[in-house]
Amino acid sequence: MSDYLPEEVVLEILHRLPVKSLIRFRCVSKSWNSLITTPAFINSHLTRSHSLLSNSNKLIVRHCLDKPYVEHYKLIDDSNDSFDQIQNIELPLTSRRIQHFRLIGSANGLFSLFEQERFILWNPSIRKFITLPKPCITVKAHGRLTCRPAFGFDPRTNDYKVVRIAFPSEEAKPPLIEAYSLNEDSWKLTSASFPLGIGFSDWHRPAASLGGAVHFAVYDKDNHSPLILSFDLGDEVFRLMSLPNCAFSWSNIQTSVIGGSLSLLFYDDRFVANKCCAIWVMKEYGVVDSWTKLLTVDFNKEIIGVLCLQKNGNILVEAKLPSDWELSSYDPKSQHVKSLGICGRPHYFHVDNFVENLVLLDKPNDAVSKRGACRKRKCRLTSNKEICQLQEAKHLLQEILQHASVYELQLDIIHQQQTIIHQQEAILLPLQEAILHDGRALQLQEALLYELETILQQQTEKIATLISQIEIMETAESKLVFLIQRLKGQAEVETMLQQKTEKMTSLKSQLEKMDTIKSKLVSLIQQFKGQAGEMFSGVGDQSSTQVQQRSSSAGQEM
Amino acid sequence: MSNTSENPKPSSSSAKMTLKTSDNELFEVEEAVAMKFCTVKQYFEDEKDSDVAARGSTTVIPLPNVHSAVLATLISYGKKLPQSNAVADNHEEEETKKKERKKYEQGLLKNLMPGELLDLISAANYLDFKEGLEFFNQALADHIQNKSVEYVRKFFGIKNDYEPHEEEKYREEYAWAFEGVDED
Repeated sequence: MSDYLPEEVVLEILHRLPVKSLIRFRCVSKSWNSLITTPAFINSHLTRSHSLLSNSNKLIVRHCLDKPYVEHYKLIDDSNDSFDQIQNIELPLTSRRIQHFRLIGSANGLFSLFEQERFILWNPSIRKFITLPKPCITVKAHGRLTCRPAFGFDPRTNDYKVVRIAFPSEEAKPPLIEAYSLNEDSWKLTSASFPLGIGFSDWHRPAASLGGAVHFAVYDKDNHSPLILSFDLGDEVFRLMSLPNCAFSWSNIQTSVIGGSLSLLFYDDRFVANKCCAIWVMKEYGVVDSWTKLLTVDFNKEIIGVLCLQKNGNILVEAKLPSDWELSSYDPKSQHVKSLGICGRPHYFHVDNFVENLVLLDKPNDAVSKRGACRKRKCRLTSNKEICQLQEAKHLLQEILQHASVYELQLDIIHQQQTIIHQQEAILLPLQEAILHDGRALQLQEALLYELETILQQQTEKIATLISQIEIMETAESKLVFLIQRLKGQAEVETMLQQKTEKMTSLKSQLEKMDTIKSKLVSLIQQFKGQAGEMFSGVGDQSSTQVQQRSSSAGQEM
Repeated sequence: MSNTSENPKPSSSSAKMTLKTSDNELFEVEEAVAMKFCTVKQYFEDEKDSDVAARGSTTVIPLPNVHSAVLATLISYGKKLPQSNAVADNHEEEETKKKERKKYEQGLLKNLMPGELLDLISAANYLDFKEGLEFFNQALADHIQNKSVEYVRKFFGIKNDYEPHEEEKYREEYAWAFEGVDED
């Protein structure tokens, strides 16, 4: 069995995994991490996400709760009527100057938020946000501005863009336009010229992003006829689209995307008792005659805003309850409004189709930057006498002007010092990290040394026990040797004893033989004696002496 | 494999091919199924061009990188796919076939050990069997989707080249991604 799979097969498998698994599997190895974080993979994973059936019924709902001021992003399963909540993710950021961030718009599950001149991109799929660099058009540089922002996705370059159309306070001056590109990570002023005689009908609600362009609801200042102004994110060109004749010249128009088509929401609040909203859809993009009315939402004093179309044909709306504002579902047939249990700040709700997206994964993590406190200028005016008042006022004005110019200089110096401090911080941070890193490395080495010490100790102990064992064995050995020697000695003694006993037995047997011979001789001697006696009686002395001689010689022979 | 249809026309490929696996087992396969293995198809077309052997029936195509058990599974999966040369079924027949295939697929996956998936994917990649790759890649993705990092390393035989403190830092930062993971 081969454990090695070629890279293109591993990529195929990774493409089929949900975002949560991919974030976790970045940890598997460095090569998997680099596979997952390439822009090419992020883009192709998004393309697949779009085509997955499991994603086509998901909605993401943004709602803002007060005290504490937290933004919530809820993932909703819209496949049936139950509007089930799959997940709730909080934005890990709070606005510093206003209570909630303002939403610019959303695209492909990525959200763009801002407060004053601080812009943020937030991806709830991977729970990551980045702060954009400072824009080119600022109050400091250009004076007071009224700004219309927009956010969209350009599929031709796989780029997300934030657009700002800034009108200076002087009416006559044309607006300045800049765009931020995520791929470039920078703001650039555009040379595009905003069409003359056009004003925005809607300044705050998200501009519809479709087909690589953002669409604004505008009106012709001469005849008040409503129009759609599109800004193409690719070639950065403004285009005007007219609306059909039956369109109404209400001032309250919002652009949106419904069912993949550009749509307009005409808020009709001419009559307080009878507010409603007509939803129109442009079935064929660019064809004016293809505008068709989808339906009208009757507000019925409950509803304050229209958000999105649900899969089952209902409309998601912002509705007012006795104590709160809530996301609700409006049934166009019955005109019944059903509460969905998601409360929040009015006009801060937003609903969009959700798709899992890895975008921002390859961007560096955001470091929260510190901002200088803003100062408040105070002016003093004193008055004493009428004539002197004026003179003094004049003097004071002159002084104030002088102070103002000095103050501006000081501000500049302070800004410079701030940037220097930032730079120093930037230098210090890596040093700190290096020290920490070294500290950790030292700790690791210490731990290793300690381990080695304990191992050494154990080994010396082992050696000591082994030595004592060897000693024991040596004494045992010497004892054995001694025993063996003793045994040997005993054995020798035994053999000697054996020999002696053998000798004794042989001697014994010899003695016995001698005894038998002796007894025989004795019997012989007796016989001879007997015979000799007989002979004595007969023969006389000769034979007895002969017999005596014979017996004595026999005795001598013995 | 014959389909019931209004105008039965002779199936252009009752021809069979023989495939030989790494353990020297021979598999006789219908041309229609074997052609789904693009590597085999390429080999066959090369053979035809070079005019070396007679059509199909005597050629034995060697597959030295594929084991017999794996090839058996791939062939049986290939048989269940809609055949490119089959007469088009009406909608009903298509639906029933789809259901049958789904049932077969579920049964196949149930009896498969996770380790076998790797072999099947390797073999399908070698054979350039697109539908098989698609199916088994998805099955493997579904299998590992909720598994832990250690399981995945062990499964693919991947060595962890991260320092312990790097890994620790990452796990802390993205703690939410490590929740609710299957026990190993």
